[in-house]
Amino acid sequence: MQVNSVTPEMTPEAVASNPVGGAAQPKLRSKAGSLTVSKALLGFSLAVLAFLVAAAIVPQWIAPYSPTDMKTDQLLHSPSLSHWLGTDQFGRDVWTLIIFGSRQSLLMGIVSVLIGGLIGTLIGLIAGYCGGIVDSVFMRLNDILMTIPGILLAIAISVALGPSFFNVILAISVAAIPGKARVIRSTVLSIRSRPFIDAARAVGTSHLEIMFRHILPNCFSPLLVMMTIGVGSSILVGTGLSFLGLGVVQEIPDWGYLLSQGRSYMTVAWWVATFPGLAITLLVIVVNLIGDHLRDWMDPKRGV
Amino acid sequence: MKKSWVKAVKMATILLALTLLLSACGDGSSQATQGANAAEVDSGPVTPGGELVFALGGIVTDDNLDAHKAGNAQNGRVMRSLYDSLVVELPDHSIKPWLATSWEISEDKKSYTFHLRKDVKFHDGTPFNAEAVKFNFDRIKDPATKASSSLNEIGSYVSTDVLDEYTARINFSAPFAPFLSNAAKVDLGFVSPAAVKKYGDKYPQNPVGTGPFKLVKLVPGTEVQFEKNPDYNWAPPTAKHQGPAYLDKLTVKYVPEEATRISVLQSKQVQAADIIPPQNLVALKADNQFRVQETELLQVNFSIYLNPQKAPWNDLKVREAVRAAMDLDAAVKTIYLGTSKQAWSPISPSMLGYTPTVENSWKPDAAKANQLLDDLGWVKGADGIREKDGKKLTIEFIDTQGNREKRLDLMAVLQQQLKQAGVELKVVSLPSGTYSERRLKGDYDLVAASQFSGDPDVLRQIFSTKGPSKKNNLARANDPQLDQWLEDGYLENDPEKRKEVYKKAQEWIIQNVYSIPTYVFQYSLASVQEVNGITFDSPGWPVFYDAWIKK
Amino acid sequence: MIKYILNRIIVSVPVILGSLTLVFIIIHWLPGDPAQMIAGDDAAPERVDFLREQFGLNEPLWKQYLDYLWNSLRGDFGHSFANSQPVLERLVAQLPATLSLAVVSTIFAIVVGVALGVLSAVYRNKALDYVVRVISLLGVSMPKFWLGILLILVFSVHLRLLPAIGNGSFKQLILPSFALGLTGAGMLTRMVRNSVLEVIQEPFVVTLRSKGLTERAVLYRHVLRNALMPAITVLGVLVGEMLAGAVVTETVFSRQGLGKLVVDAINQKDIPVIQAAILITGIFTIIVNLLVDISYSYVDPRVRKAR
Repeated sequence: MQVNSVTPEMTPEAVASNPVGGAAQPKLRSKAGSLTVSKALLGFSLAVLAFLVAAAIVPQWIAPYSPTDMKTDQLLHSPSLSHWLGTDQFGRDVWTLIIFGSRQSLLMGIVSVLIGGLIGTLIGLIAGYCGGIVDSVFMRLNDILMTIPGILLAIAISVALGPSFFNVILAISVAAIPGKARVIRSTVLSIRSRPFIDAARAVGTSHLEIMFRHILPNCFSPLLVMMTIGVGSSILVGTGLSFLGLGVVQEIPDWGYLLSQGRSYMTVAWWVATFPGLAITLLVIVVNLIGDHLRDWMDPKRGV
Repeated sequence: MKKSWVKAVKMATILLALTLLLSACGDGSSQATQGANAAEVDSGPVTPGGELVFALGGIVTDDNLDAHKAGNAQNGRVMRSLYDSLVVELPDHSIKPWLATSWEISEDKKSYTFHLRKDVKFHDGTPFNAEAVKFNFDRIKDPATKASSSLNEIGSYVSTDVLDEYTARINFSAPFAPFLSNAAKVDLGFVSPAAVKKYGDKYPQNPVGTGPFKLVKLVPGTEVQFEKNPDYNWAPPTAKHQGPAYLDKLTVKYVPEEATRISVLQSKQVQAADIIPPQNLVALKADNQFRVQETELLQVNFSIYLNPQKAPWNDLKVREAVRAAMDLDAAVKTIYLGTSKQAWSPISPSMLGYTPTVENSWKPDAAKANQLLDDLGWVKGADGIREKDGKKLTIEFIDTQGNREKRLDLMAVLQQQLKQAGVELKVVSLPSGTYSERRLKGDYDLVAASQFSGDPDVLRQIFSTKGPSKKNNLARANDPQLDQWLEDGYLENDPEKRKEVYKKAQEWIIQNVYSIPTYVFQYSLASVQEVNGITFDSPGWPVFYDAWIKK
Repeated sequence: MIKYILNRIIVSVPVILGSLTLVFIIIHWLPGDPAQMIAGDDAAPERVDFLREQFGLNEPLWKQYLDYLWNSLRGDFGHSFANSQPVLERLVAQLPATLSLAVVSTIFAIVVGVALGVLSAVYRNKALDYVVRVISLLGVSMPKFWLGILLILVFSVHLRLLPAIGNGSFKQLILPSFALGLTGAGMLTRMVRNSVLEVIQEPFVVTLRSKGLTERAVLYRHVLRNALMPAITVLGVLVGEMLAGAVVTETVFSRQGLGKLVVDAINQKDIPVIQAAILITGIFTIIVNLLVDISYSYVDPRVRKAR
C-alpha cells in the first residue's frame, strides 16, 4: 500500500512520457555474465511464482496440515522439525497457513489488477483515441480521481461497503484505475499518429475496429508490464487495509491478515508475523523482477 | 549468477538473524515465576516529584476531555486525573464521601441532599459549591450539551435545588438506585462553570476540573500533559495520602498500536502502559524490571447474543445446543493464554449483585449438542453442516469492532468448535453504519459485545424492553418476567434486596440462553519497577494521585 | 511560461470542484447516519433528531451540496461532528507534523535513491550493485507497517538508539521518515540506475569521454543532470503518496498527523473533517504536480515543446 501503490503507475508512465528514464540496462546486457544473472533471477522468480500458483490451486497437496486445525496444546511454538515455520496463536501451522493463504493473496492481487487494468485501459483507449472534448473530460475525471490518494479511496470504499473479500478487491481496483488510464492514453496517442492508422482509416475501417483491432494490441506491452508489477502493489494495498482493521476476516486468512494479526506477537513469537511478511515481500519482489524482465524484453529499442 | 545468489542469501540471513535476535530478547525471561503485584511491593519511603509518562492503549479520536461528553473508556482513563466526584465507591460497593461530606436520601427515594466540602476550588480558582453542582447536572441534561454516557447515568434527573452555598438537593422523577454509584464515576465529575462559559465549544480541549492534576497542554491526537494541582487537599478516603499529588508531571501518550506500546515500555521510553496483550503480560510478569497490575473492569462481559426473535434461534433448545457445542473454557485459555477466566454471568464477578450460582450451570457437551439438534431434525449434510428443509444451520455473526482484545480470535476458536457439531459460524464484518442498521432491524443471527458500566442496572439496557433501548435491546429479549425484575432492581434502594432481584435475573438470563458470557476482561497496566502507588477507582480507571517514582 | 502556468491553474479549478463533488458523493454513500453514530446505538430518537438538526442533515441533499461547495470556496469547513471543534483548527493543528514527516522522508528518498542509483550504475554488476538492488527491491516490497515495527524493535528497543514515538524533535522523525521514505528511495534507486546506464551510453557522453574529460567530470556534470530527471518526475507522485502513506506510519509511530485524523474521521463519518482533509490533500497534490511539471519543462526543453 502507501507509497508502494505508485510503483506500477509511475514506472511505466515514466517510460511513456520520459524519453530518458525507464529503459532497460543496455550495458548490462552487453556482458555475457550479467545476462545469465538476469536469466537466473527470472528463473528463480518464475519458479517461486509457479510454486505459489500451485499452492493456490492445490494447497492440500503441498501443506502438511489443515489450515483450520487448532492445536491448543501447541500455541506459539517456535519453528521445529514438525512445524517448519512454527505455530501461531491458535496452534495452527504457519507454513500450512502460508500455503493456503496464497490463494486469497494471489487472487486479491491478480483480480484487482485485472479489474483496474480493464477499466483503466478502456478509459485511456477512448480518451486517447477520440481526443478533443472526450479526452479532456475523461482526463479531468481522471485528475479528479488522482487528487484523492489511492489508499484513502480504498479505505473509503472498504468502509462504505464493508470489508468483504470482493469489496476489498474492488477498493484496490478503483485505486489502480487512474494510473493505468494515463499510461494507456499516452501510448494510444503515440500509436494514433502512426501511418498505419491513417491507412486503416483511409480504407474505411470503423473507429471501433481501429481502436480494438489496431490500437489495443499495440498497448499490450506497457499494459502487461504495468499489470505484472501492479499485482505486487495491489497485495501491498490489501495488506495496508488489513493493518487498518479493514482486512477480510476469513476462516482461511490471506497473508496480509496473518501479518497484521501477528504483528502484536513480534516481541514474543516473531515467526507468526515474520513468515507471512516474508511471503508478501517475496511475492512482490518476484512479480517486480518478472515485470522488469518483461519490460526489457518488450522494449522497442531492442527490436523485439 | 552465483554472486547475486550469495548476496540475496546474505540479505535474507541478516534479516533472519535480526528477527532471531529480537525473539531472544522476548523469550529470555519467560521461564521465571509469577511476577510481583505492585500493591504488595514495599519500595521504601515515598520520593515525590518527577514525571510519569503513560502510554495509553485504545483509539482516541476526538481529543475530548469533557467529563460529560467523552463517553469512551480511553478518555475516562485520562479524565480521572482531572475531575473529582461527589462520592467514592469502594470495592465492596459501599459509598464514601468525597466532594460531598455527607448526604441524605428523601423518604420517597426521589431526592438526594448533598452537603459539600467548603475548601474545594477548580483549577481556574473558582469555588466548587452548590451552584456548580446545579450547573453540572443541568448541563448534562441540556440536549445542547450533547452529553454521552453521563446522560444515562443521571437517569430520571429533573432538577437541582441550591439550598445554601454548600448544600444541593438533586431531584429525580422516580427512584434511581444506581445514582450514588454513578455519582462516583468520572462521567459525573465536575467541570468548572466559569471555564465552560469561557471556552464554549472549545471546552473539551480546555478542561478545568478540581482533580489532583491540571491540564498543561493537549497535543491533538497525540498526548495530554498534566501538572500537579498544588492546592489539592480533598483526596477521597480511598487515597493513601492527603495534599497535592506526588508526581510533578503526568503525561499521557496515545499509543494505539500494541507492538509499539509494548516496545516503548520495554525500552523504558515510557514508565507505564496499559492494555497489555496476554502474550506480553506473561513475559512482563516474569520480568523483575517491570510490575504488572490487573483489575477487573466492572462491565457486562463480552457475551454472545443469539437473536431469540429469529428462527431457528427462537427455539431455546437450539440456543442450548449451540452453547453446549462450545468449550468456552478451552477457547478462553487458548486465546488469553490463561490471563483471563471464563465468564458465567452476564456481569463481571466484582459487580454488585453478581451471583456465583450461575457458575458451572452449563458445561461443554458435544454429545448433548448433537442429540438436541438431531432430535430437532437438523441433519448433517455432505459438508458436515447440518440442514433442515434445505436450510443450513448457519449462524451469521455480524461485527463491526474487529479484533479488539482478540475477540475475533476467540470467535475463530468457537467457529471451529461449532463446526464439530455441524453448525457453521460465519463472520460478517460490517461498517458501523450498516451494522447498527441491521442490528436495530434484528436482521442477524448473532451479535457479540461488552458494555462498560459500574452498576447491574446496565442489564436493563441490554435485556429489557423497558430499558433505554426499548425493543432494540442488545439481546433482543422480550420477556415480561425479566423486564419486571430489572425494573425492580433499579427502583429498589436496599442493596440486599437489589442483590436478590439481580440474582434471579442473572439465573433467568442464563437458563434461557439470552446471553452466552465468554470471558472476564482484566484491565492490565504495566509499569517500570520504580513506579509505585498507581491504584484504580471503582469501575477500574487508573488513579495517579498516589503514584510516585522511586529515585 | 506564465501563460502555461495560468493555463494550468485555470484547468485546475474544475478539477478541484470535481474533487469536492466526488468527496461529497463518497461521503454520503458511506453507510450510517452520522447523528446516530455520534449519539450511540442506544440513544433516544429525540436526541438523534436533535443532532441531525444541529449538523444540518435534515436539509435536502442538493442544498447540503450547494452549501458545502459555497462554504468550501469561502474556506469555511464547519465544525467537527465528533467534538464540535472548528475543522480548520483541527487540521491546522495536525498539518505541521504530517508535512515535516512527508518532507523529511521525501528528502531521504531523493538523497538515498539518487546516491544509491548512481553508485549502483557506476559499479554495475559488482558486489555493491547487487546489494543495492536487493535493498531497493526490499524497499518497494515490504509492507510499511511491518517495516515500521521492525525498525522500532531494532533501533528503539534493542539498540536503544532512537525514540519510537512522538513528534517534536528531529530524533523522533528519523525512524518514521526512514519507514516512509524507504519505498520512495527504492523506487528512485531503480529508476536512477536505469537512466544513468542509459545516459552513459549516449553518443554525447561517449564524445565527452573521447575528448578527454575525466570519468568523474563526465559523471557529475553531464550524466547526473540527466539522471535527476526521473527524480523530479517521481517527486510529484511521491509527495501525494507520502501524505497517504502517513496514515500507516503515523499509527505505528504514534505520531500526530493528518493521516490518522482522516482514517478516524472516515470511521466515525465525521463529514466536515473528511471533506476538508481530502480537499486540502487534493489541492496540495495539484500544486506539487504543477510545480513538478514546470520544473520538468524547465530542465528538459523537449518536454516544453511537446506541450
